[in-house]
Amino acid sequence: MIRIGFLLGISVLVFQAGSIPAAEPDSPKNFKPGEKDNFIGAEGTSFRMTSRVSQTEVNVDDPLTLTIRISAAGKWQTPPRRPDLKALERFKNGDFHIERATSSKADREYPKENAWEFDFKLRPRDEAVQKIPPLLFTYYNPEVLFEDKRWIPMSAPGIPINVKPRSRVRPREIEGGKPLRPPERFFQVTEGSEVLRRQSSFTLSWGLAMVLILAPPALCMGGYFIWSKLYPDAANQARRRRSRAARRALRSLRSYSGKKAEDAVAMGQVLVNYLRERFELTAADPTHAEVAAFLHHLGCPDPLIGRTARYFQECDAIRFAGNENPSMNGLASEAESLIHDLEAQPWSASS
Amino acid sequence: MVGVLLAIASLATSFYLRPVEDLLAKAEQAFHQGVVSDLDESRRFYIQAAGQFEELRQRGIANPDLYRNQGNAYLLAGDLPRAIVAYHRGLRLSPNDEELRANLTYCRDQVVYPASGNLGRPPVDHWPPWLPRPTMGSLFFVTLIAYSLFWIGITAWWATRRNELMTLAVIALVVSLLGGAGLMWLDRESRHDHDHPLVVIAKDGVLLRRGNGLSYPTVAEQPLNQGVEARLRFYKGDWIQIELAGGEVGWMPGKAGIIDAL
Repeated sequence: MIRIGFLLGISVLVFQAGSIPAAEPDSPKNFKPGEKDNFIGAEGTSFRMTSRVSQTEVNVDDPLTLTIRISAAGKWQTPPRRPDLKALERFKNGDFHIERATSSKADREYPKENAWEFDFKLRPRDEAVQKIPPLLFTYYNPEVLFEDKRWIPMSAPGIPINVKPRSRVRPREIEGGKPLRPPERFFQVTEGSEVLRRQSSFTLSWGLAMVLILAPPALCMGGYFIWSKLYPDAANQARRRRSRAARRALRSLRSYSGKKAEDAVAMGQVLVNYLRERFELTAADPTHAEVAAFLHHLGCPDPLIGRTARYFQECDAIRFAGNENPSMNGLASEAESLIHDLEAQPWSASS
Repeated sequence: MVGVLLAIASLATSFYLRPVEDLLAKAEQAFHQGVVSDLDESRRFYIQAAGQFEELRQRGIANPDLYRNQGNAYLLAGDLPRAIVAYHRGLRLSPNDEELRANLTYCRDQVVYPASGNLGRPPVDHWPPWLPRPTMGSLFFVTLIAYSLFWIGITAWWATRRNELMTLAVIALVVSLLGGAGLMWLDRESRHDHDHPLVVIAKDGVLLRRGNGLSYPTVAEQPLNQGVEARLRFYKGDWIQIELAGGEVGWMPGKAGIIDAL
């Protein structure tokens, strides 16, 4: 009984020596002998791990080099391979960007010292990062009596670092530390009720825009309609002037002096062209009788037909008389008057 | 019953909120106290004045004078980003206010941009300084006048057939078409500002990233400091995507910037 109790007591002591109260992740205190997590492939009786950094002050996202040195204190069979930092809990929170290594072998070997060094390039992602977390890896000791106790932890403490933002230099700092005083206008404030007004940016709705687009043409058309009713003569004159044939004929007539025989012929031709263009007179060189018959066919009143026929008679007389200085009093004005009177006829508006 | 409750609520609100005239008087008083105080004390008064101007703004008061006062208060209080936002708001209402524009230029000169390249620098203003900037209201007025003159000219020409009236109508038509094009351009700019509001970076050392999280790589090695202006493109959670004047796009924490929501 005493022997059993003694063995039990020894077992309890061994168990208590082997059990580690839970502390922080990746902490040696949290490691139970026999666990194979974070095994780095090293086999030997005793390995130690230390770590160092290339610099303890670094800007956000600037690289720093973490060097892990693993050395064998006793006999060793298999060298360590590159530890996997991302397997450690504290490196999984994204505080560091860990650049991928090109090889799993050691960056440097020290055969005489039985040591191997591994470099890791880390970039802190935020100013809040305050240290490189502690490291915890395991090696295999084949000489431990119990097989499940052969995975032995080795650890290195965390390394405090200072992560700074990129740039804080301001122009006033370069000026010797004295803040530059802004211009005087910044020390003035606008006062009065003007500061309390509610001003908004100009906006235009589509409905209002359509009204404003349609309003001017509608008003102009309405104004023209009212004007034509109030001033019918003026409206009629405007209609006559609208006749392109009449405008062209009148313009042509103004270019002739009306003093030579050739002008009489030309003016007569102008009138013929006007009748052809305006009322579709088909005769190429009509006589006064043909013109009269044509106008009669259109419904022209007799006095106007008579005047037109007499005009062409006078033109023909001057043309065939052979007189170089004929009497052409009022021939040009008569032609203009005929055109105006023809345009004024009611039946001409529909032509 | 509902009406009574609404009346009581309105009365209670009016007792709780100070009149805007009182608020303005207090803001002006705080500002003047800041001017006469020494450096350490003055900043507190300027912050107080800026806060009261902001309360006026939130009550619907909006005009270039208010924004100028607020911008000045923020700048003297050392809050460069909020000063820039205030000046921008004033220029939106009055693009031809030379003092606002000069104040904004002064603020931009205080921003620490990256030493090399144009990252974060504000857009270059190509507008001729001697030419008044068109506003929607003025351009609309000119276009409407020209458009009306066109129709008057056309109608008069139709009635009288005088060629000079047709010439006048054609000139008026050209002016109205140009004015219409200008109005469309201004409207497009206004819609763009509304869809992509101004963002001013509020702290130093902000790194733009390719995604909405610290695990994403940075867009550029150089960080952006407070006062850099950008436009908001998207937001996702606590992160916002911005576009700088040079076209660079990246994500940053939303709390690191001030968004001028319209």
